[in-house]
Amino acid sequence: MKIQILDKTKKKKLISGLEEFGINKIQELLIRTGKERIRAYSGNLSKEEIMDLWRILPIEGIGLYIAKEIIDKDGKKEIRLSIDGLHLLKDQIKNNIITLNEKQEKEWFKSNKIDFERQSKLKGFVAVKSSDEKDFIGFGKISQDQKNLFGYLPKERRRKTMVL
Amino acid sequence: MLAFLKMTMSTNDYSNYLKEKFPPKENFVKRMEKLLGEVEAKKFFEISYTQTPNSIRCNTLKILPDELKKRLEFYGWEIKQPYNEFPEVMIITNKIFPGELGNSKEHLLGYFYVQEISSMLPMLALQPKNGEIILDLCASPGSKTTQAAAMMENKGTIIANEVNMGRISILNSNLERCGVMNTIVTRKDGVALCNLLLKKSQIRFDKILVDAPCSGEGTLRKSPKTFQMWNENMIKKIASTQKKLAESAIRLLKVNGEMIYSTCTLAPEENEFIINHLKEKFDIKIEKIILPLKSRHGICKWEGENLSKEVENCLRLYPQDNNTDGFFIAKIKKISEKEKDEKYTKNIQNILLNTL
Repeated sequence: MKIQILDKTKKKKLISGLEEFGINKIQELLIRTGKERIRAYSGNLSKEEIMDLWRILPIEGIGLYIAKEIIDKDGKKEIRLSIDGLHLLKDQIKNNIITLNEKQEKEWFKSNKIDFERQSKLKGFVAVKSSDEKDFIGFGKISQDQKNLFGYLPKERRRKTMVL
Repeated sequence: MLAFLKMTMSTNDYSNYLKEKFPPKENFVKRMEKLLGEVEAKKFFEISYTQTPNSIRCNTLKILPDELKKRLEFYGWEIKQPYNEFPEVMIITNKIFPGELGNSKEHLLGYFYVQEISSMLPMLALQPKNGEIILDLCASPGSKTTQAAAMMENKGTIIANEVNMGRISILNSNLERCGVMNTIVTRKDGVALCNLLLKKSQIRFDKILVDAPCSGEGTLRKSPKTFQMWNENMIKKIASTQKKLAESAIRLLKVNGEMIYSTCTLAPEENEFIINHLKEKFDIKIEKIILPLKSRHGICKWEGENLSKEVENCLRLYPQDNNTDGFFIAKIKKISEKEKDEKYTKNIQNILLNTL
C-alpha cells in the first residue's frame, strides 16, 4: 500500500473542504493511501518511524479510513466522509445534516435509494442521522432534483438478508 | 445448515444430532481422559456438543457500557454483565435468532463486537495501556486488536499482523467498524515479520500477543467439524509452527516487556511444551494470571516428560468450568536479552554425558 503523510498545508486544504459541515479541526495525523483514500492515525509513531516501517514491511492498513477525495463530473475536487470519519468528527458536524424516518432508515441500511415525499432543502453531500437522532448512520448525496438520497454504506455495514 | 438446525431443533435434539454426526475419535477421548480424568473428560465432551452463550464486548471507543446495555434491552434482549471489573463484557441470556446480533444497528455502527468470553481473556491478562507499543502477531479477525485499541483509548501503537490476504480484509473491516485509529496492519508470515523487524528496525515492543493458530480443541462448540479433523500428527505439526512464532516474538520484546501466548486448544504439546521450551531458551519469567473466572493451572507432567514448575502459572480454561470455549493463556515477562544457543547447550550436555 502506497502511503503519503499529509503535511500541514495539505492537511489544512483537506479540512477546508469539510468546512461546510462545520468541521475545522482534525487532530490526528492524516495519511493518503492509494490515490484518494485519507486515513487518520492517532498512534505515537513519528512520521519517520512510519516511513521506515513502510520501507521494510508490506503495510495493508494504517489508522482509520475517514474520507475519500473525489473529482466530480465538472472536474471539481470533493471530499466524501466515510461512516467512520463521520463518527470521528461527529461533535463538530453542525450543518448539512439530514434525519431519516424509521422507514427510510430501514431502506438506508439495505443501501437502497431513499425517496423524499417533499423536495429536500439540502443539496449535495449530507451527514445522515438515524430516526431517533442518536447516531450518525452514514454519508449520502442528495440527487440534483433534491428528491432522492443515495448512500455510501460499505457492504459490510449493510443489513444482511438471512439465508438459511 | 447448522444455523438452521440450531434454530429449529430443541437444545437436546441439536446436541444429540451433533453427537451422532461428529463423534470424537478414540485417541482424542483417551488423551482427554489422561488430561482430565474420566469424570471431567465426560463433562468436557458433554458440553462440547452444546452452544456457547451469546457474548459481546462493548466497544468503549464509541459508546459506554451502560448506554449500550439500555439500547440492547430496548430490543427485548436480556443483558448480563458477569464481571463487575469489566462492565464491557456482556452476555445475552435470552434466545435470539441467528444473525440478529450482527444485523442490529449497534453492531453495524461498531458499538459492540461479538466475541466469545474466553477470547477476551488474553487482552485482559496483557492489559495494554495508553502510550504503549504493542504487537499482535496473528491478528485476524481483529477481536483482540479492537479490544486492545479500546483499552489503549486509541493511543500508543498496535502493529497488527496477518499473513493471509483474505483474512486481512476481515481484519481491516473490523478495525474500521470499531473506529480503531492507532493500528498499523501488516501482511507477513509471523516469523519473517519478527526477523525483519529485529534486523532492520529499532522498534521493540512493550507488549506482544501471540494468539497462535492451533488445533482448536477448545472451539468444538463453535465448529464441531474439528472433531472430524482432529489428529495427533496435526498437533505435532502445528506445535512446531507455534514454537517458531513464540521464539521469534520474544526477541522483539523490550526487557521487562510482557508477552501473552494463547491458543484455543488444550493439547499440552501446543501449550505448556511451547512455554517450557521458551523458559529453557530465554531469560524469562512465567507470571501468574489473575482473572475473575474459574481456571486451572498449567500442567507440568505429560506423557512421561517433566516440565518446569513455573509452567504451572499458565492458565487453562475448560468449557465445562465457565460455560465458555476452552482456552490456554501464558504470561511471560522478559528478564534480559540473554538467550541460550541450543546447539551449544546440546554439545555441553553431550560432553557432560560422555564424561559421566
